[in-house]
Amino acid sequence: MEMSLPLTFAAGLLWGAAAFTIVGALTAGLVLAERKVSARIQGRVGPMHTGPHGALQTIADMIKLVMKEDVRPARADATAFRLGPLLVAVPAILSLAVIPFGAPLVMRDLNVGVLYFLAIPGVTVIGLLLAGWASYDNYSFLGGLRSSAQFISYEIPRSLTVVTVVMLAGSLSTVDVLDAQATVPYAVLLPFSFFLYCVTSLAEINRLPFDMPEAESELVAGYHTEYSGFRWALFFLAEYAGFFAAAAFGAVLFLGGGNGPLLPPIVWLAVKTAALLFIGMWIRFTLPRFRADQLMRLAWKVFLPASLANLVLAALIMRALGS
Amino acid sequence: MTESQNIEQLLFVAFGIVAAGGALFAVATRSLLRSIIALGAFLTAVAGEFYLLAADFLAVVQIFVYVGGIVVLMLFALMLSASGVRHPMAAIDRPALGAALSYVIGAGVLWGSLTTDLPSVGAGTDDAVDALGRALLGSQLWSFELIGVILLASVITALVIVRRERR
Repeated sequence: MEMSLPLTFAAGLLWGAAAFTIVGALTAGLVLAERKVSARIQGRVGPMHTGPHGALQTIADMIKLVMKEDVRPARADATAFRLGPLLVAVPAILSLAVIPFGAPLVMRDLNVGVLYFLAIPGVTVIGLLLAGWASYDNYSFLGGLRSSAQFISYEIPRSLTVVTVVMLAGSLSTVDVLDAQATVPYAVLLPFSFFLYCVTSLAEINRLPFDMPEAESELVAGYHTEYSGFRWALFFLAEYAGFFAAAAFGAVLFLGGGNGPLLPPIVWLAVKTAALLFIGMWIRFTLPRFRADQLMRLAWKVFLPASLANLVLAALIMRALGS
Repeated sequence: MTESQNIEQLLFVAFGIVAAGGALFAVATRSLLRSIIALGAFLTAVAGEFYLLAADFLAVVQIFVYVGGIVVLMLFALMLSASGVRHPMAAIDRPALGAALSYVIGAGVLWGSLTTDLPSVGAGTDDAVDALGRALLGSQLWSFELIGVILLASVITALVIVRRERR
């Protein structure tokens, strides 16, 4: 398709705005769902007053957040303080680009899509470190260091786990991985990989039981303690965009994504993603938080060897299947 | 030349400007934190150039290893040592030797890039990943394994140094 230069850039801007809007709406929905699910688990009713059964609560919250004053600590490093939330939010949104939402609905079918999805969140770490450092506050700084240490540690077993899927599919493209699961989803062939992916993903996106960086009882709110208003909202957005991306990517890698009878692919993907998201929320309100040192020990002494063993196991399965 | 090629050329130049600007800023600024961030911008822009040169794999690996790894490591080192005030250039004993070495290396890179037949923007094969994988486990197996051994040696060295300091 040939387009003139200004038109191409306008289209690019529109795509960007659309992505941001979609992620915003997604976050609103997820936050509401999380509040309702947590209420259910804890025997409460959750938000009820704004809209029918509190359905408009998060919309109201978002309006409130955008209108709040943007406070910056006097001793904070201004540039880094502004850059932090951006570097956290942008990669989280960018990582959605390679998820195949249905046959034509993939923004970019990179032939290294799987690797791209694993690589892009790495930029987030820079944002977390900057936000923690720039805030000029002990809690923020410790939170930033902890969360990046956690991220880097869990990135390794997570990547090694995804390698098993790539080995079986024989391609790094997310669309090819999906096509390879036309008959059997990889969760059946590689159940251990699926389990490892889910656990390491929870750790990588800093969710309970692995949310040390934000442990309220010890660190107030971790790296975003000093943030307010829209910049704080960006952190929130990034967290839920990351949660959604991890679930959708898991659904594509292990549950066959949009593959399924009768219904259109996007519905199947939505159902599978929602199931994974629900499990994530369920875990959050069921398990207690780990301690920081336990978490790191778990990463290096349990998950890393386990993912290496899993790699060998996958190779053996491949041999047995004769592919 | 078609429009899409035009756009690719334009993006290539834009990324080039960001890369050059980032690199210059990284060596010119006095704040170590800013220097590292500028380095990150430079490395990201270079990844963009790789992508436009149809080296998708290289672009993603550049982000994975350099931006998500090396830059983060540098930030960690900066924050844990809390030496953000002092510029690393102040620690160089022989600036003349350093400058001379940089010029020699820079000239070598320039000479290499001018004499090598580089592909034009947008050219390249789709199975570059395949070719790279085959090369790494085929003709380049020796260098690949050697790098692995060097990395292992450096990990062990780091462990030994940490242990000695603890005693």
